[in-house]
Amino acid sequence: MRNEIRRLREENGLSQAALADALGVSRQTVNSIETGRYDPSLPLAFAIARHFGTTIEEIFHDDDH
Amino acid sequence: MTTTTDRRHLVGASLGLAIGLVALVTGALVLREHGPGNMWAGYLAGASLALLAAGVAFWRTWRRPAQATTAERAFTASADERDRAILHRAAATLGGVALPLTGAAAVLLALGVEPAPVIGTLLWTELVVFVAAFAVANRKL
Repeated sequence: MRNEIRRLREENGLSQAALADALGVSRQTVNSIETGRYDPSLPLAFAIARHFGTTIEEIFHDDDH
Repeated sequence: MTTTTDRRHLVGASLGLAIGLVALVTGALVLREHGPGNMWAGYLAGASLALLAAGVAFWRTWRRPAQATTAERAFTASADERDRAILHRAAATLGGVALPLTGAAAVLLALGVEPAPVIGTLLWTELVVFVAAFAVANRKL
């Protein structure tokens, strides 16, 4: 699954560590999500969307569609 | 400033280490009285190292959370969802491998092979499988 987290994070001037702190996860988890190695749970995906003031659909994209 | 989460982490860590220390001393005393040879000394050395590693992991996840590794978080009740996913994958791999390995060990024992090396090899193999599976999952996820 592709996502826009790196772009949104950089636009907001956040480091991976700062975003991780805000979301209550580790920096490695943010890195794994950004690089598409780990798909977050629905609650974490909602937390990410809420943090950037947008929707899950605007952030995560299905590879096949 | 110490937060409620910090205090909970500290209390949990202290309790876990205290239970570990009691298990360490009790196990060593029981093995010294009833175990074969100097097994108690090996147990004491191995369990002390494990307890020390747990203490270091607790301290790092408490004082240096940003530098803590996945394994340190996973084994100190401070794991996030990715850490737990990695731990579950490693445990699932170990579970899948443990059954045939235990079956093979049972066959060897039934054939009259000395039990101590069979059990020892079984335990070490399972440990290696778990560590390797954890490392692979940590790289993949």
